[in-house]
Amino acid sequence: MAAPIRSPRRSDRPAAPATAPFRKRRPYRSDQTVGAMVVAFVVAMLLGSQSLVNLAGQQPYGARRTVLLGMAKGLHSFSHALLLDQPAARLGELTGKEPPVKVDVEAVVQQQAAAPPTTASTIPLDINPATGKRYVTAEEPLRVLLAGDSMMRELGGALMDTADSALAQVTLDYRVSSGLSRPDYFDWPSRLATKLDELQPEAVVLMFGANDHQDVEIDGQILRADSPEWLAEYGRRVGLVMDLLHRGDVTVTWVALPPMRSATFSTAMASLSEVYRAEAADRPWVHVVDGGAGVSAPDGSFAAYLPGSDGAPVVLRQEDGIHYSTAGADRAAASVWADVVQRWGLDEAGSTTAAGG
Amino acid sequence: MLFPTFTFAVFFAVVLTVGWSLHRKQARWKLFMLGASYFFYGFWDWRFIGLIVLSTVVNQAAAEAIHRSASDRFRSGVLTSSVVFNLGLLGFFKYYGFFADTMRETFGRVGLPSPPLLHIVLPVAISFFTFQALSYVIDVKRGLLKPAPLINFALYLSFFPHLVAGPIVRAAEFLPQLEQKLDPRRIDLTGALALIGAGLFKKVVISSYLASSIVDPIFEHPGRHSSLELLLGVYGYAVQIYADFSGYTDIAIGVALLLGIRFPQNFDRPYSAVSIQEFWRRWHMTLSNWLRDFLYIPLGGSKGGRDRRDRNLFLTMLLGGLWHGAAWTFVIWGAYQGAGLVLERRVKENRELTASRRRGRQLALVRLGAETDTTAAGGDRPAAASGFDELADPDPQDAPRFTDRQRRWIGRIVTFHFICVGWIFFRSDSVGTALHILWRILTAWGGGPLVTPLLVGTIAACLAVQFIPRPVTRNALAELSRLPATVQAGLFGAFLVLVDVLGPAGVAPFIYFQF
Repeated sequence: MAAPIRSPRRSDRPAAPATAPFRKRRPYRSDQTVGAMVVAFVVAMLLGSQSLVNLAGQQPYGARRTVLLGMAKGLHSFSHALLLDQPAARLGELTGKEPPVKVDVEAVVQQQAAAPPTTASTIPLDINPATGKRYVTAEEPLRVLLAGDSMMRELGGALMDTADSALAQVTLDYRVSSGLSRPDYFDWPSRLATKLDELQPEAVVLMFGANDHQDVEIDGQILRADSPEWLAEYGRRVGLVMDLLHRGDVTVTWVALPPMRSATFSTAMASLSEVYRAEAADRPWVHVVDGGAGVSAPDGSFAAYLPGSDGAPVVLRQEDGIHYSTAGADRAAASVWADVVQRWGLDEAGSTTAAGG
Repeated sequence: MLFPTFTFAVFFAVVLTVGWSLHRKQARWKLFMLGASYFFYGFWDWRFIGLIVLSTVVNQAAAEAIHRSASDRFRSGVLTSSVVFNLGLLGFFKYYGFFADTMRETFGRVGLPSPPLLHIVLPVAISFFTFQALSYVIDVKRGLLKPAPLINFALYLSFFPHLVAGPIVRAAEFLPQLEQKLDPRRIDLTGALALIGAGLFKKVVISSYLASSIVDPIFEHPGRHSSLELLLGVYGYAVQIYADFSGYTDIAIGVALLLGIRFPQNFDRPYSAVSIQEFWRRWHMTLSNWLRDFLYIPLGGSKGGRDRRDRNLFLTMLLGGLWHGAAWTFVIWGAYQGAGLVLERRVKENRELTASRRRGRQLALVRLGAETDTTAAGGDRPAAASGFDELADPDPQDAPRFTDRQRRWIGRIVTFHFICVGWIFFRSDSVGTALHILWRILTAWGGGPLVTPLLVGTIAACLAVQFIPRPVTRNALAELSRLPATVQAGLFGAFLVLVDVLGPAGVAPFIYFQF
C-alpha cells in the first residue's frame, strides 16, 4: 500500500541544526578606548618610523616640512636605537619593497660624453639613409619607453594603442604625483638611468611638469617656484635628463604641457614648456612636441570640448581641467607619435622589412 | 581626506579625544562633530561645504513644512519640490554632461538645438548625501519620522564616517542615536579595531595589488592580453571592487563605533550568494534597501501582477545603475542586473509551479490509489496489483539531478559569473571596450605574463574568505575582546605597520568616491 503523503509530525522533523550561540564581545569605556587608540598610534609610529620620515620628506618645502621632518627623524632615531624599526625593514626587504636605486646621474652623463654607449641589437642592421637610423622591422621592432607623471597615464595608453605593435615594442612607466622638482619623492633621473640599462630603448617619450611648479631645495636653500634661480635650476635638471638620454641613436620626444583650465596654472605650465624648448634648442636628439595639439581652442587656450570628425563635440579633458580624457589623449598622441614615426621612418617601415632584415 | 592616510589618523585622534571629552554636553558634542565633518569634507574642496549646507537647509525646511501642515495637498507639493530640488542638484552635477552629450548626439544630427556643454566638477559624496536627505523628507511625509532639530539633521547628512562613500544610513537609524546621550561605558572597541584593520587591509593591500597587477592593465589595453589574462582580470576586478568598497565601509562603521554611533551593515559575503537576488541582499545592502523602500515600492512593488512587478524591478535596477555613474556602461549594467533578476524570478516561479503541479498530480494519484486499494482489499485481488503504487512512486525523470549541496554550488558559480560579466561593463570606459573584452575572453586563447601564482592565490583566497561562517569570526573576536585594551591596541598598531609595508607607496582614492 502506498504510504500517504503527509507532513512529518513535529517529532519526525529533523532537529534544527544546533547553532553555537554567539559569544558577546566585551565592551570598553570611552577612556579605555581613547587610551587604546593612543597606544595603537604610538606603536604604529614607532614600528613604522621610516614611513613617517618618508611621508614628512614628501611635504612641500617650508617650515611645516622642516618641523615634521625633524620630529619624524627624531622618532626614527629613537625607534632605530631600540631596533623597533627592524621588523618593518626586514618585512619590506622580504616583500621586495627595497629603497629605490639611487644613481649618480651626473657621473653617468659625464661618462657617456667621454665614451658614448651604443644601443643593443640582436641582428646586423642596415642604416636607413632617410633617417640616418636603422631600419625598423617586425623582427627588430623599435624599443620605445614612455615615461612621466600622471599626464602620461592617459597619453601613454593612447600612444600604446596608436603604436603599431608589430613595429614598436612599447613600455609605459608613469608615476602619479611625480616630476623633476622633488627627487626626494620620486627620483626620475635615477629611474630613467636604470630603465635605459634595462630596456635599451631607442625612442623615449617624456612628459613632466604638472607637479613641478613647486619650491625646490638646493643645499638647504629653498628656491621659490618661478624665481629666476628656480627656473635656472629646473632647466639644469631638464638638461641633465636630456643628456642622460643622449646615447647611441636614442631619440627623445619631450611633450610640452597643454593649456590648463586654471589661468594661473596654465601660465605656470607654459613657463615650464618654455624651459623644455630652451633646453632642447641645442640638443638635436630632443624634439619638443606640443601636448596641446588637437586639444586646445583655435587661439591656443584651454578647451574642454572641441568638435569631433563628425562635428559633434568631444570631451578632451578630465573634470579636473588638467588631465586628458581618453579622446583628448588620442588626439595628443597622434602628434606625439608622428614625431617618432618621422624620426624612425616607421611610415615606410613596412615596405623596408626586407632591407632591414 | 582619505581614510588610509596619516592625515586622517591625526584628524581622527583629535576628534575621538575631544569628542568623548564632550559627550556629557550633547549640544557641544554635536557642534564639534558637525565642525569636524565639515572640515573633513572641505579638505577636498571648501566650496563643497556650501553645497551640503544648502542641501541641509532646503531639506530641513521641507521636512518642517510637511510636518506642520495639515493639508495633504500642500504636504505632497512640498515633498515634490524637495524631490525635484534633490534630484535637480544631483542631476546638474552628476548627469548634466551625460544628458547634454546624449542630446547633442541625438538632436544635433537632425539640426535641432541642444543644451550647451559645461565641464562640471562632480562634488564628492553628492550621491550619498542626496539619497539620505531624500529618505529623511520622505519618511517625515510618511509620518515615520518627526523633523529633527536642525543641528541633528545637519550632522546626520554630514557625519564624516559615512559622508563620502556610505553606508547610506537612514534617518530613522541615525537620528534616534543623537536624541539619546552617548553611552561611554559600552564601546565595541574590539569590533571597531577589527573592522578598521580589515578595511585597511582590503583597501591598501588587496585592492591596490589587484588594480596594479592585473585589473588596470587589462581594462586599459584589452587588445594586448590573452583570454586567460582577461578572465583573471575580470575575476580580479570582482575581488578588487569588493575589497575597495567593503573596505571603505568597514572603516566607516569601525570609526563610527569608536565615536559611539552604530551604522548598518553594508556587505555580507556577497560572492557566497547562490542567486542574483541573494547577491543583492548581500552587496551594498544599504543602497538595495534604499532603492526598495524609496523606488521599487513607490513604483508599485509586487502589486498588480507579475508583469508589473517585473517592470518595477527592472526599472529600479536600471535607475540603480544610473546612480553609479552618468555613462551608458552603467545604464547597461543596471539593465543587465534588472533583466537577470526578472529572469531568475520567472525561472524560479515556473520551476515552483511545475513542482507544485507534479506534487498535486502525485497526491491525486496516491489518493486514487488508496481508494482503489480499499476497494481491492475487499475483493480477491492483491492490493499491489492495482498498479497505482508504481504511478505514485516518483518518476525517475522527476528525481532531482543534483543534491541540494550541488545545486547551491552550481547557483554560486553561475551567480558569480553573471555578476562578473556585469562588472566588465561597470569597469570599462565604454560599451565598445566591454564588448571587446568579452569577445577576446572567448577568442584570444592563451596565457600571459600577468598570470602569476601570487595573483591566482590572492583571488582564490579572497573568494574563499567569503565562506567562513559568521560565528567563527564573531566568536574569535569575542575571545580577542577578553585581552586587555592596551594589548589589543598594540596588536592593532603593529597590524597598521604591516598594512603599510605590504601596500604600495601612496593610496589611490576609493572607487566609490566617484559615485
